[in-house]
Amino acid sequence: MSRIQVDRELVRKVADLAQLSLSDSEIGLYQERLSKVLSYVEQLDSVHESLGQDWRPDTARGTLESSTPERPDVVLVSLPVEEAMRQAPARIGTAFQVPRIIE
Amino acid sequence: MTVNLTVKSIVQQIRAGSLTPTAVAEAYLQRTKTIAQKLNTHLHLDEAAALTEAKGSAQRIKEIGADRLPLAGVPILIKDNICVRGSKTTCGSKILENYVATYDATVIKRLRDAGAFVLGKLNMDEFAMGSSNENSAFGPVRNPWNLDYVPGGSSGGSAAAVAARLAPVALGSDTGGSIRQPASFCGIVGLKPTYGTVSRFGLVAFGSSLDQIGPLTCNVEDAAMVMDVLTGQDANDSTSVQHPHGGFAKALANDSGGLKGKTVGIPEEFFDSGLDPEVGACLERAIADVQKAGAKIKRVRLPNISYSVAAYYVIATAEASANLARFDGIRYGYRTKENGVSLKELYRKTRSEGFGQEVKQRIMLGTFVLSSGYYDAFYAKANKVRELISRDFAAAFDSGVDLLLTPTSPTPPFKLGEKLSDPLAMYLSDICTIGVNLAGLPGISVPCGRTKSGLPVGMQLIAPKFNEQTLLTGAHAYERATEWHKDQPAI
Amino acid sequence: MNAPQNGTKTSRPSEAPVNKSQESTVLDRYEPVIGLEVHCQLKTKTKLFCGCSTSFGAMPNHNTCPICLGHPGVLPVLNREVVNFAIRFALAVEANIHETSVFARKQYFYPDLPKGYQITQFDLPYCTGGKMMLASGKAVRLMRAHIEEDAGKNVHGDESSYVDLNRAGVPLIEIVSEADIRNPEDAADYLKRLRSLVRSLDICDGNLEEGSFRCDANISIRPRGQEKFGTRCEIKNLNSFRNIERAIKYEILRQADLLDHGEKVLQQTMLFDAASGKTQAMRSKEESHDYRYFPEPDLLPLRINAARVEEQRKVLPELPEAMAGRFQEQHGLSPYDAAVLTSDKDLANFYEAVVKRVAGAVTEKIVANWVTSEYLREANNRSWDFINPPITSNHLGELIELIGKGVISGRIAKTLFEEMAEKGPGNGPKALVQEQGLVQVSDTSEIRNVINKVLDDNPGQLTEYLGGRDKLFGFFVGQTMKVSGGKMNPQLVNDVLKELLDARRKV
Repeated sequence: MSRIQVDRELVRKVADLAQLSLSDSEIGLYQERLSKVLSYVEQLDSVHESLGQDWRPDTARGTLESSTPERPDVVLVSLPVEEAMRQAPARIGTAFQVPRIIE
Repeated sequence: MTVNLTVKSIVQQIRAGSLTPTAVAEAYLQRTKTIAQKLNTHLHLDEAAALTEAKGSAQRIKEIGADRLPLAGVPILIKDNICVRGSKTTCGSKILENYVATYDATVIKRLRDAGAFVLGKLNMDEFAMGSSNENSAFGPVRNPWNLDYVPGGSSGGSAAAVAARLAPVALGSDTGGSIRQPASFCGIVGLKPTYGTVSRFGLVAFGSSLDQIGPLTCNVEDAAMVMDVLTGQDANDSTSVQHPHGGFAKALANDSGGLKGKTVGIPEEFFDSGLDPEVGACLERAIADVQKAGAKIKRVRLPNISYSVAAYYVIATAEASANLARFDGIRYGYRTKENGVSLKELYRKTRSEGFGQEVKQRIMLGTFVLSSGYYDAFYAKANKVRELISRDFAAAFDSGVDLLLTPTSPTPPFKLGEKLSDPLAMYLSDICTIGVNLAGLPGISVPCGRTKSGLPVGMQLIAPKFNEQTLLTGAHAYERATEWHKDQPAI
Repeated sequence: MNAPQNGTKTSRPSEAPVNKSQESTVLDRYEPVIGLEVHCQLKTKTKLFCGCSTSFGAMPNHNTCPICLGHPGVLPVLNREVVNFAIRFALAVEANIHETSVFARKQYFYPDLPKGYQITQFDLPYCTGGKMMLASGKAVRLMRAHIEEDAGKNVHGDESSYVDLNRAGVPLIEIVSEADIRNPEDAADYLKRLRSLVRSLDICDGNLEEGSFRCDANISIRPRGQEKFGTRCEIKNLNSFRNIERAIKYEILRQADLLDHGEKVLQQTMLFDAASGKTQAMRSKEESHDYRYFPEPDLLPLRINAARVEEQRKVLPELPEAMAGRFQEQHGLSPYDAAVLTSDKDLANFYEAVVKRVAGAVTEKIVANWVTSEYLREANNRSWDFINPPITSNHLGELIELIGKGVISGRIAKTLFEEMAEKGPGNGPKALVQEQGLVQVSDTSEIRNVINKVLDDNPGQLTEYLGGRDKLFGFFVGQTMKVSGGKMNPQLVNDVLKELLDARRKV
């Protein structure tokens, strides 16, 4: 199996981070499946990559000459507030309503 | 009732005045009504909306002239993860069951501007996560060649619909093979463009650095015509680039060489013992046909390609876990019906009730590989492996190869339910296509045979970045030499 | 009112009393180590990644679009002006601008965060280093600054909370200092100067109440002499300079108290309760967020080349420090006055406008004096802003010019100024002086008459003065002023009095 211990605790922790709630049986199901997949994915460990110290995936994108495209600071017509709110599952006035946030 | 039209023939007849967009729409809608349900290709089939769209196309033709509209009167079916304003865009998920898009995807604008119109929205694996279209919240799609079999995924609805002639073209999306693999399972043409050449604005994101929208059609020429309209830099998509070429249909028409003198590389790794023997047999014949058409065959190696599925499932799920965080029941979409819940419960119940199993699994996998302590070992590592794979492809092309040829899928279409219990089995069916997404290359699947039981088998051609032209001329030449594309399922 | 305080500490009864001796022994034994984080809203017209307006005060969700609402399928596109503003800031603090920087996703779930992640910069921010000079002459090093998008706003009711996403996507730069600050006064000074800087650059309003300039403080303490840093606590969302000082002071005492009792300082996020004057740990259980940062795949790296930096350097306005230097060199102001005037861009502009209006009738030093004492006092008490105050630079300039031309005395001018502050400028100083007959007497012969009478009326003091009690000079000045109702030109009074006294000596 996987070198990383995919136990119920780990599954619960990851589900929490992802805001998912799992039943006990689901935890078992995902534990099994994730364990399998993770075990497969762990083979990446054995790849010896010789890309050099300076190569980074985040900076290697695009080209050195071109920066991320930019747009002018010009106001565009916003969505009419009716449109913005139309599909809100719960609202009051033009605000989205959620259960009381406890800070 | 059959509809024997292609994109090309529709445009020709519209220009000749012998067809109108409404007539075209009606013909397809008629056929759809009798067939779509059997296949479950369509989500929210709205006849009135389709006819309104057809009228819009007619209006544009009247104002601008059919000769100036490259896709005049062409109806297009759209995978349901592409936003069409005013239309439901569910991504095959309960969490967006009733979500109506508030804007048009750039590709939709481009298609309409070219004279085409939206005929309907298609079923798919939930959030494009799947290889069989069995992960839809709205039921699986069936393969029109045999209803007990899967059409492939995640653009299963798109492939099945085009194969069943419910439209001459459908848009799909491809993150790890989701256009090509279903195209191969349904015996049609499916093209994934070079990353960045078709705008992703309006495509509900799955794997942002991998996703591309592309056409599924009955033949290569149609794909070229649609590609002409889809490609182009979009100010709304920071990752989009201007395709340095374009003019694909014209180049195809003017091309006289086809595969003559081209070098076609066969990567060893795709033709090993893991290949289904029937698929192997079809590919063998295809390679011979390619040689007959004038190409030289060369064996090449992609030494790191065996890691492609692992790298993909780290990168794609990581990006997806973030992309799907916006689905929380607050601003739109599904919200749990339970009352009196706390905020935390709102999030958790909404998402747990709204997402299907595969989606939840991938979200958790993606969350895990980005989590504290694991980022370097997984996400960072996977991206380095991705670079190695890209370099492998580049090296292969640099060694004098114009196109790479591989099976599109290591197996022929499988039965519904066959691969659901083993997550890896499903993931590994993408092994031929995934590397192409990792490297950002263009790839096309064309039908190249059938199994003994009559199920389609597809062949994949891969070209260097921005070389769709070579891809299309090569595929076109193969198509002309073999005519697999002329077969239709009997549905 | 954001005029600088002159260092006087007032203690209001409702606050937690700070025992001065307690405070000083704590500071004898412990050294505070303070780092500051400021989130500056950039005053571009549109948001960071979409074309929605950033205008303040719009009705909820009226400035939103599919992009900043986090609808499916949307993509971010960077606002050019944000990058320009960010570059200007980096230049002003002499930071190192990186040629390549990368945007990242910071993931967490909160209703005011529509995408479930914030697009920010993590590993590779656009600039690092730089410094801010304090009034004390100390330099506070900057660690980094980066560009990120703001979240929306949550308003809390009893049973529900309400989410307004107008602010979601507004551009911010987050400025992080090194933990170089060693006392609360320096912390407040750093923030005031930073605020003044971004206002001078015209990249941020610097409005703490409206939330365009948000300060968080990281505080730890260590026994004096110890090298190792203590555990630090973060105090979030301090919304006035006063509260910043109070909060930091309280926190230092709180931490000292724990350590004195042998307890550990827990790493916590705190909020400051202005009413009680105390910091309190936030209730959220999930103290350590796992933000799962990764590079934003929907954006390419941000590449800022030398040419672009030069372009921005050319459009930099005069910065406070340079302006203060100019005031000292060209106007002869003291460093203190220069600092006071340049602590606020609008105040500095006001001062210069007054100088212009006065057109040399008095020295700049005198103008500065007027502005920093009389004017600021009234402005403070009456909550004037310096852009559109009731007494304009023109009014003040006119008034001061009258002094310079000898039309009125300084003392009369001050009284008149207070009256104008209270009742409004009326028809202006010149007119008021005429109306109230405040023109000062400069007729030497009249002055002579009055002074002679004063000397005659006070023979005792005159004798004492002639006998050597020089101090009584002031007495005679005072008497003269009294008799004349303060309307005599003081310089002339001085001169004539001297002359007449000398004359009497000879007698």
